[in-house]
Amino acid sequence: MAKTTTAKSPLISKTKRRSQGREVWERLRSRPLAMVSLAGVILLVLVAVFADLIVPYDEAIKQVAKSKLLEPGTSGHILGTDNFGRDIFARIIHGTRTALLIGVTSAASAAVVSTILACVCAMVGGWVENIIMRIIDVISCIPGLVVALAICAALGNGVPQLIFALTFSALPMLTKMIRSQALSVSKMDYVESSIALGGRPAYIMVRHLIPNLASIIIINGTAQVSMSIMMGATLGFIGLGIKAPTPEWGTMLSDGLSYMMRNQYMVLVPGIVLALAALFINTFGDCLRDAFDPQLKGKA
Amino acid sequence: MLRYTIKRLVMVPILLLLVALLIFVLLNLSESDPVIMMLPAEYTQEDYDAMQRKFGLDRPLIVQYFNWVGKAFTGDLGISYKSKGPVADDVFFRIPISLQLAGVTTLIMVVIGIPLGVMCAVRQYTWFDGIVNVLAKLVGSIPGFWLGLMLILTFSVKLGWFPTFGTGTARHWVLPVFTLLLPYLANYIRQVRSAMLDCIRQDYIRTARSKGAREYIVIFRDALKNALLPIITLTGGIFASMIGGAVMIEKVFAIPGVGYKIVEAINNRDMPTLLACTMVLAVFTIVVQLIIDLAYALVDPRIRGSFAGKKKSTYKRQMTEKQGVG
Repeated sequence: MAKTTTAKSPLISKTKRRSQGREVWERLRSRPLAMVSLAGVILLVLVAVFADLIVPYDEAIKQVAKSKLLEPGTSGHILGTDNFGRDIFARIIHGTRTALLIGVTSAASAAVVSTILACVCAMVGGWVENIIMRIIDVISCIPGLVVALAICAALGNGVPQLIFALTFSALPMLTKMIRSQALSVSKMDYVESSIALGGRPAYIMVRHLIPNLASIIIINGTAQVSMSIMMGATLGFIGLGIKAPTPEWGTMLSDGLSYMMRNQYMVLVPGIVLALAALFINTFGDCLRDAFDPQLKGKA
Repeated sequence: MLRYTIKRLVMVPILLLLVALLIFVLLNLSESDPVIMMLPAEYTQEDYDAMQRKFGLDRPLIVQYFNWVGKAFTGDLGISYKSKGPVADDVFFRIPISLQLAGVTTLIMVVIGIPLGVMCAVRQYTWFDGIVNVLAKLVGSIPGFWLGLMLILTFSVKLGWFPTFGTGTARHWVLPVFTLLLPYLANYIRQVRSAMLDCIRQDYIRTARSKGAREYIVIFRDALKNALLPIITLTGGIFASMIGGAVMIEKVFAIPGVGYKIVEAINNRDMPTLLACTMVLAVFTIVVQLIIDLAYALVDPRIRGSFAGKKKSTYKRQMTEKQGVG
């Protein structure tokens, strides 16, 4: 973990100093699985960013086909059409944008908030830490999905509300994890000497704590992205979260439910895409963990 | 031990009060007025005031909270906005159904998961370990409710082997239990494997082998016995989270448990019912966690010893942090 603190002894200074990021990238590159899953993640991001170039947004929300519930493979509609005659392929493409927007934003904001909470716990300690951790304990008494459900039900549908709900429900686990790492880092000698030399808490936080927490934040943040996407789709399936015409995988699934007996592709396609997206992100996250800490490799 | 037990028991009601407060605040973030929602399309101001008074919504939030808490101790969980009947009647009979689903699933998970996890640890980096690992990853990425839908489509609609939804016979339970089991099982096997690997690397295992004990004795008597402690904690934690995780499964398979009611309450914007159901889940989680912690202290002499003195030992602190992570 503490690779950033290379001592400047004459022996070491001759060898080339390499950043942790570079080492991680080289370890990643040597694993085919990591590269395949990275390609999948990049594909997802590209689809999300260039969704408008692939299919115009209008095709995803308006009726484009005369006949409804078309089977996949019909000319002009690769994945068929849904109960409103909307093109399923277009909805999947634009649904990727929705999913990634929600997953990345909520995971990132949860990571930022929990890092700040964890650092405050480690640096300040005492009653401040006690209060923060007890609040976290209270939140974690309720299952994450139910927390998100309750917030969405209270705040109503919409992207900001959904992101808030997902962020809030992700906080307990992330904070607990980052805090336990932050506590052990804050007991390191270099932090203690920095305190002895008069380093202020904010300085120590930025200079020592956060660089040494980077790996655990990145690993858990990545895992959180796929969890948030899944939970967002679950909420959409219940009818919470995203407003009606916006293409979203979970909402597509619940739309298809009523027509499951006539046309199963409306349920099949979004589910497979959702599972694939989660698989890519999860696998990449696992490879990332191995690359950050080769000693952990093979352990759960 | 007694001191620890008392300390933990005192925490339970405090934690519950705080959880209730949290849900109260969350649910009242809502901008929509439940009174208007319950009234017919045309109403007078008198109707509005009467309805508001009936549900106690005219009082400040904090007063509502303490009223609710006071009544909750007598088993009165408020009146449903939807059915206008007592919430408690509608919620309590669902608890055994949810417990049954989670209990059966946990049991099967333990029966399948521990042997597979031990096998993976013993044969680390072999094809067996690899296949289980890949399967675990695959299964872990499938959303549970979608898996349930696919199973219904295949085994109920197409093949007609199992009923589509509801409860009653044992055949009704096969698909829901399987759907709930799969993602948890994948995770469980990997965790059991890592707990076993931690033990297998210990010195006493090397000692046991060097004194000539048979391999299966070393694995089952020395390694598994020591790995059981973290595994028990893990199992308890999963059981608690399964009751929450079953929300969607209950919805898809129309099993009339607490989770099903939660989704229904959300669709009806029925806040008193939602509050009651969430509290039921919180009670489950807290009680299961309490039992695990007490059992842990009872079984592990190191933890019991650490509570003989006044100060919390570093060992216990490490253990609680570990649990927090897991």
